[in-house]
Amino acid sequence: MRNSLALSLLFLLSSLLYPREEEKCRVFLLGKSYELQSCIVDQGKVFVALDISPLSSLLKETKLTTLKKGNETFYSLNDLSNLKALSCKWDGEKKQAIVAVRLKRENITWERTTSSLIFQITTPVPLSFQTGILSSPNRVFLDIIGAHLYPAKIEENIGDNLKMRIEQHSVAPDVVRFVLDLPLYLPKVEFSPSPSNRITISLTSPLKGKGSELEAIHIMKSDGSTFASLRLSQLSQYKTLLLKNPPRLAIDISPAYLSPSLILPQEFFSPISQVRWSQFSYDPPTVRVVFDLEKETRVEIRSEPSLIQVKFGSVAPREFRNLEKLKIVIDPGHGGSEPGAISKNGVREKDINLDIARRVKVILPTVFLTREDDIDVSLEGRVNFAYQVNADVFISIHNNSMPEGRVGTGTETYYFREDSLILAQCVHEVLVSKLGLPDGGVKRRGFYVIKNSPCPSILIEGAYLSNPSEEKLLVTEEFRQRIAEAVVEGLRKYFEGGK
Amino acid sequence: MKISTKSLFVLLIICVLLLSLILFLRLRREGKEEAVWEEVKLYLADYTSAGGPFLIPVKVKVEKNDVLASAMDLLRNPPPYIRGVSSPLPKGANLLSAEVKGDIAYLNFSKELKDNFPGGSTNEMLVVYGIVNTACSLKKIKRVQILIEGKVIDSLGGHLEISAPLEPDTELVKWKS
Repeated sequence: MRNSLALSLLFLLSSLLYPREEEKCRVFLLGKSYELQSCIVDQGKVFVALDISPLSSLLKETKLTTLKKGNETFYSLNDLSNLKALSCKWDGEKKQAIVAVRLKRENITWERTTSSLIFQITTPVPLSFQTGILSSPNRVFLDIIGAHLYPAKIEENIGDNLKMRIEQHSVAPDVVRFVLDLPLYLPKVEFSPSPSNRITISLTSPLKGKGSELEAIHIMKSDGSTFASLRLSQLSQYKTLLLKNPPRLAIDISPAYLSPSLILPQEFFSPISQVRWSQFSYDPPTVRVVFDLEKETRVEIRSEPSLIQVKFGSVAPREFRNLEKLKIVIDPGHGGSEPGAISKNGVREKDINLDIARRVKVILPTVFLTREDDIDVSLEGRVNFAYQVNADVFISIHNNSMPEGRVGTGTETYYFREDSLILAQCVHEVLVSKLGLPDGGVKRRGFYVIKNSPCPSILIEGAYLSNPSEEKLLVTEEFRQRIAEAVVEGLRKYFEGGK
Repeated sequence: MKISTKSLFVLLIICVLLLSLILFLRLRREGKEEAVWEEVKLYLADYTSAGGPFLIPVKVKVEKNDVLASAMDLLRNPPPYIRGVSSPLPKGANLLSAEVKGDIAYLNFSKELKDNFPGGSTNEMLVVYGIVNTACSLKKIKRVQILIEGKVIDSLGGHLEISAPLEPDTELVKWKS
């Protein structure tokens, strides 16, 4: 304080002794242009005569060096530029000074509340801004006048469908443009009134009332297992996807939307490393919750009207049951007048499926086949068969195909009901490791036989007949034997906790 | 002088009348145009994206009188400007007739829908729900009964039962961002 006082005194004195040339310059103060202001340039120091009251809240603690000349007060631009909150520049050629607020990433925050996403931009002094909402492509913009961005460009994805872009739109006057790209949908947008030192933009979900509200995601540990639960306001359909690379479990709930006050897990337990959630789509409203996993893990899912519960990791041991004493139905897909997929070389899916099923019966003679020969069996007939034998488990054997021009690749296993997911995972794990083809994953699909069977039931797609190299494998006995062995080994894993 | 003022006045009235007639006709035509079109979502197949294949809904406008036939025609021959997706229907599969009873659409296809179906479980979902979801994107239609040459059949490819009317299904649907 004392120093600057002394300094100003010194300047006062020196200015009296050596009166400096006064010039005219242009000043941009917080984006506003002031023409023909008086200024003095002296040994690299710049003084401008300017009403600096817009900055007053910043200057409480700081004493600026001033020069008095006539009835004008000149402020030191150099002193202003020492303030961390400001960005000051002097262009000696153009005789132009710029005083703007320094805007950094940490000044911009966003948070999700009930069906809203709120962005807040905090500035040390109130700034004025202009706003706009544009369509095709959908975006919201906000021009903050009198701000200088550090770094000059910021880009961030917020969720899966929203991108925040911030960049220096212009200098002299300094304008920072803040853009939200909303590729999916233009929500209701509200801006706080200008000017403000706390600019807010709130995007409100228009989905309230259009489905179930996802209220909370909980993660807890109990009896050595990790559980995750999704609390919903009402029953909605959901589907799950277990994926690899990186391992994760995705749950899509529809129709549903994110609660504005969505409660999030406070703590993660192994194997969950992270949870992500998003309004995956708006029409129909679909919420996607993704659990990132440290490693591939078996999961068990149970749902109640307002709760979806997932159990991770060591799944409760099933009551040990000897495979030979169980009623296992093996269903070779297609048959008779219905060949299923046919490869370019005329290999018919129905023949491959039947051969694999027969091989299963050789390994495990107690299994029941829905067809022993090349005959027609309706989808309903296959399910009825499972009812008749009072099946404990039902496995439909298929091989896959893509339409002309596409090849397709890999092994997939489908389940539909929650009671079948563990079985699907057990068999799929062995299939993938024994066949060595790309892992197409365990997926939930509403195929007739697995939807309607009276017991845990899955449908496997060993390989693609439309893929020439996989077709070559499928025509070898050795490969079909491997599929058959994998099915039995998967069953052992499921019922006997084997290997 | 007096006559010319009078004729000027008459002329003015005629002008105003003509103008309002033009405006009226134009407004009426605009109103009509609105009424002639209905929006439909075509569920087209995306075979190439990672994690797929998917059904991608694409909004188009079709003529209202014969909306089902136009929609199915577009599903079979998608407009060329829609990139990255193709028709999920097997080659040569044509809609022979369409009928709506209550909220159920009865879509009668030529035999190629079954005969030219190349197989594959996921592919079967693309075909069946390509049709069902597209039809159900229209007002008033909640379910679809697929017929082949006028007859109810069990299944197209042996994975999905189609002997009863089906509701739309979103399992394979992906919304392009």
